[in-house]
Amino acid sequence: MLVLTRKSGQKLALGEDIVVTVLEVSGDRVKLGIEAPRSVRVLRPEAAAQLSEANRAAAGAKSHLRLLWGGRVAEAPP
Amino acid sequence: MTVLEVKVPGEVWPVAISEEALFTFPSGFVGYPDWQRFALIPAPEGHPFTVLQSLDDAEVSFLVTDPRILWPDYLPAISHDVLAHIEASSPDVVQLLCTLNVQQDGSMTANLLGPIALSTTSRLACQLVLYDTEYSTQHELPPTRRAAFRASLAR
Repeated sequence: MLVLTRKSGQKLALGEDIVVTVLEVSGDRVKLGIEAPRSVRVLRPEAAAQLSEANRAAAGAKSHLRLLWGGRVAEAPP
Repeated sequence: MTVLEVKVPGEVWPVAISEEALFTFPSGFVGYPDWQRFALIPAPEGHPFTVLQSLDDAEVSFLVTDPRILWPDYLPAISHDVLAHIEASSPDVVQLLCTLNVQQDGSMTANLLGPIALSTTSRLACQLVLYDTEYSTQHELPPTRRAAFRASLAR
């Protein structure tokens, strides 16, 4: 892990198009500003892990088409 | 109308759906960037759900519903970045959905931390991530609606 020290108001560039700014430091809390392309999703790792798990559980549980249309397999729903 | 063949493990279902029901998630879902092409298939009459079925992987499908039917006060902010990402001109053309999870005992929870925003004009969609919220990925359904949703699946 790369470890750097920055002061409030200073920035850090990640690659060509992501800039992280330390906006405020107060006790054990750090407020960060993030400038990144729209395609870059910025997530707290704990939220990402929760959502990833929720998505897997919701999507992979069972075939929802079969669940809702029961045994009428070859019949196209309206 | 176009007829898609939806493959369920071991079976193939012809499902008639209109072009307006096809959506692309350019960034996929959180944790699953490859889940990109989906069809929104209304459930049989009387069910309060819609099925969001992957067109690439038969085993990937979600039960979804309009969260405002269940929680009228649920109004997640849709940022300009999200509108730009799904090429929506305003929040008025965005349809909001949430995924439902059926638990072992048949009860249901909703993912209100990561709802889905669909642009009805561009047919692009994405999963939002709410910040600083009390909502969770396993939000209990309102007590008054639990029985109806559960019975709908048991039919």
